[in-house]
Amino acid sequence: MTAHDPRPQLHLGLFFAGVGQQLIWSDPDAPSHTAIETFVEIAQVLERGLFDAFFLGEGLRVRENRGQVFDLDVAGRPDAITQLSALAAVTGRIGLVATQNTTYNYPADLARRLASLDLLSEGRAGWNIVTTDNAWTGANFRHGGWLAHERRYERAGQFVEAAKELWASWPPDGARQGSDAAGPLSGPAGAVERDTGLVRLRATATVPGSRQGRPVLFQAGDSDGGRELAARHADVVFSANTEYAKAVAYAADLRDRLARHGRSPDSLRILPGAEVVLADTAAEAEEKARWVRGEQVNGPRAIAFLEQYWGTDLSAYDPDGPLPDIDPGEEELDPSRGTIPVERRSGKLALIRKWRDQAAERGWSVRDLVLEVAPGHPSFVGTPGAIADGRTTSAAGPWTASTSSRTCCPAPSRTSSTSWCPNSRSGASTGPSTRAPRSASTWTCRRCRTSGKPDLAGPTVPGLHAAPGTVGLPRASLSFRTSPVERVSGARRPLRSDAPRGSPRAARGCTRGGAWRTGPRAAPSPRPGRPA
Amino acid sequence: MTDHRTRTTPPSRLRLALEADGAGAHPAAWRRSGRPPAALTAPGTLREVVAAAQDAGFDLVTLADAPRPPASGPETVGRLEAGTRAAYVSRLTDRIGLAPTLQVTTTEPFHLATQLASLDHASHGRAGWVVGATADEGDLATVGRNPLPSPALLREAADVIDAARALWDTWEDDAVIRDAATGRFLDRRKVHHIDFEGPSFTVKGPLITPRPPQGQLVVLAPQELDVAARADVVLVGGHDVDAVAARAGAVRAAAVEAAATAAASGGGSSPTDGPPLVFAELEVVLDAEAGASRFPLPPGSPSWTGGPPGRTPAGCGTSAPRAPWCRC
Repeated sequence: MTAHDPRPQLHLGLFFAGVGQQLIWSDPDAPSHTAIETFVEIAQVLERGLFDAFFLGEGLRVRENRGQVFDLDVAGRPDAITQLSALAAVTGRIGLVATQNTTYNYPADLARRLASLDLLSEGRAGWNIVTTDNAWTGANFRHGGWLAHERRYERAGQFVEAAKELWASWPPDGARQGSDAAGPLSGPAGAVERDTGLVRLRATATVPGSRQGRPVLFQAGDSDGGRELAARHADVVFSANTEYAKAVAYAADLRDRLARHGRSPDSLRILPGAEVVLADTAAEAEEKARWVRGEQVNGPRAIAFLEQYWGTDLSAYDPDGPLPDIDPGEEELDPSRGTIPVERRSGKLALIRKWRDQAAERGWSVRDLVLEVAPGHPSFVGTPGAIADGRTTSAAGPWTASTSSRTCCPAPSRTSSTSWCPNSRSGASTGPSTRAPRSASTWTCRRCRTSGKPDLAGPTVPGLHAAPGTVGLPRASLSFRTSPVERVSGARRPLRSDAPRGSPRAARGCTRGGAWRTGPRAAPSPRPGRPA
Repeated sequence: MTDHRTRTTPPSRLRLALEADGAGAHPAAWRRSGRPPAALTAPGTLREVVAAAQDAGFDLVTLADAPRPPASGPETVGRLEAGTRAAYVSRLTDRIGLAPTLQVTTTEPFHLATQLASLDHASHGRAGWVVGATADEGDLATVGRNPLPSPALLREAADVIDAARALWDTWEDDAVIRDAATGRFLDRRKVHHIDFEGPSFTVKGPLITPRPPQGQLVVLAPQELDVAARADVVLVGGHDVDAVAARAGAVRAAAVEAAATAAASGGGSSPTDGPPLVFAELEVVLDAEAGASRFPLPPGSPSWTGGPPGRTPAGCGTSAPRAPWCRC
């Protein structure tokens, strides 16, 4: 990645959003998106493929469109920390990253659940820190939409500081692994207290730190507040800036901010998101990419996309016809369809005018337009070999996923660290100080100066702190048929859930000998609020 | 809800649950466990204990929990959050029920319902919930809450159970249709808001997790919370067989009376379909020699009268009658 590092290391994670437009469910072979077996298989395949992280999204309200549950996209997903705790038991090396919200959680409660995942996974937990500002999501929580938009990152900063202080208050127990039961227990240093108006708690850590000290902190927000939070606290940013020029500017901006906070430019890893479409031939990959995009933006979804902007029912319009001729409502975008990119949160009418002009000029239908402007364009399309060698063309610009010395990331970091030094396992390393480049031949640890052959299948991979800024996070949302996972691992069969499909669920947990019998599924009870 | 509800004779099979938190109920249990201190929070220990309980034929493990670490005399013992522990063993077991203690007062009801529904998915329908309702001032302070008077606590416990049960019903069984012809993944008429409103919180719904495999999870609640009509299992304690039997009888009688009252008023169905099961909470010492003198307390420990570790019941306080497992 840099001139003095002949063996740069590519780190890969996989982001499974769980819901939304990018997941393709129409293929009858697509596995259940909620069955635990699907998650287990993805995580285990990723682990075999030497991915560093499996990353779950989160949204705290089921998406709606004009006041009704949105029915076109995959909806419904498990609690991320619960799901990753289950996966911790059936994986051994991969990082497990949970997206969790600072607006609608309590700092001590969330810090404790994340620390628990970190210990259960023996130091493989990560937290993707997100905020929510809208009262629509808040309607599911005790305080409702209590936090002003401009203060959400202020709260997040205080929240993360409290969490870090709790984690730091009880150092890892590793040093005492061999001590006998007669010895004294360590314990938390003391209570952590805050009462600021935005964060209020007095709490004591309930668990010691893991072998990695504390969970790895991810941040993905692109607003000014999000970037500041990243520069102050994050170990990794998951960047949506995938266009090359934007990504270069973004990286430069983050490094300026790091310097202002007294942090080294290398202390924050930038992981640009990328969608990857793989096939055995270039032509097949192009065809697959068209299929993926066509499924993501089918007719009903194209109309629903415009409805979010028009704020009105457009179901009478033909997705293959011209743009609606009626004027859009003037209200701002409804947040209930999910996250709206920052640049689209205001100026809706100007944006629609621009779209009308573009469509008129190029003769676009509704669907043509939405195919162009809706998020989710693949960054890499091609054969695995071509992508690995950097031989594909990419709409995103001159990126490359190569592990050669070419730059994979704008403004590459100056160090070449990669995986954990196996000798540092018991240490509380949360900083980028003890790693050795992992390569196909040998590694050398910068701290302890030992070297050896890498054990690629061994337990030395998970340190996400160690990731240099060269990571593509392909989204699983390409559908499992086209998932990069199966190719990276060499497994040719599609990911498929083993869960019985369509079997009567009442039987589960009830028919096995000695099972804790909870009885058949209750019939759906009367809706609350409705007289019985 | 379960088959025993419709029987006219009591179930004959003995149901056994194991409280698997930590090394045992005794404050010095971890020192007798033969394991190093770090093992208290190690996943391998949890795995072994729950696997042993399953192999021994237990129906259920419960996992005690509280927002603050349990004290072992002057020492603080580590404890992982119970929901994550239950999830961790969900893929390592296949028969035993998994019932973590989740607190109604120090969590968001929406997160609580989501966590438990997710546990039920991960375990293919083996999830339960031990309703925790800590009113301990220090526990409440972990989430910045002020002390809670007893009536408000009992109301909140009932409300969180109601909200969780309503959320578990927000997705009908056949809400996911995957109808490629019309492009509809969901039948949106089968995914519902709940618009729950109580004095201390509101929840809009629906749950972000599809309907759990069991539909409704098994809810276990301590007798002191007075939520027998909402629970599947009521946990009663007592120092001897007579005391336990008396409390169990009282729970059943109250449940029957509540059902009769509801029927007389023409009211709607109760959250459960019949009187709850009653579990007696017993501390068991398995040893060749009788007597707690075999297990001296660590220096500086408060006296120990038995009981699940970390449980702080509603009635726990200097003026209230002391529950046998109350350590305050």
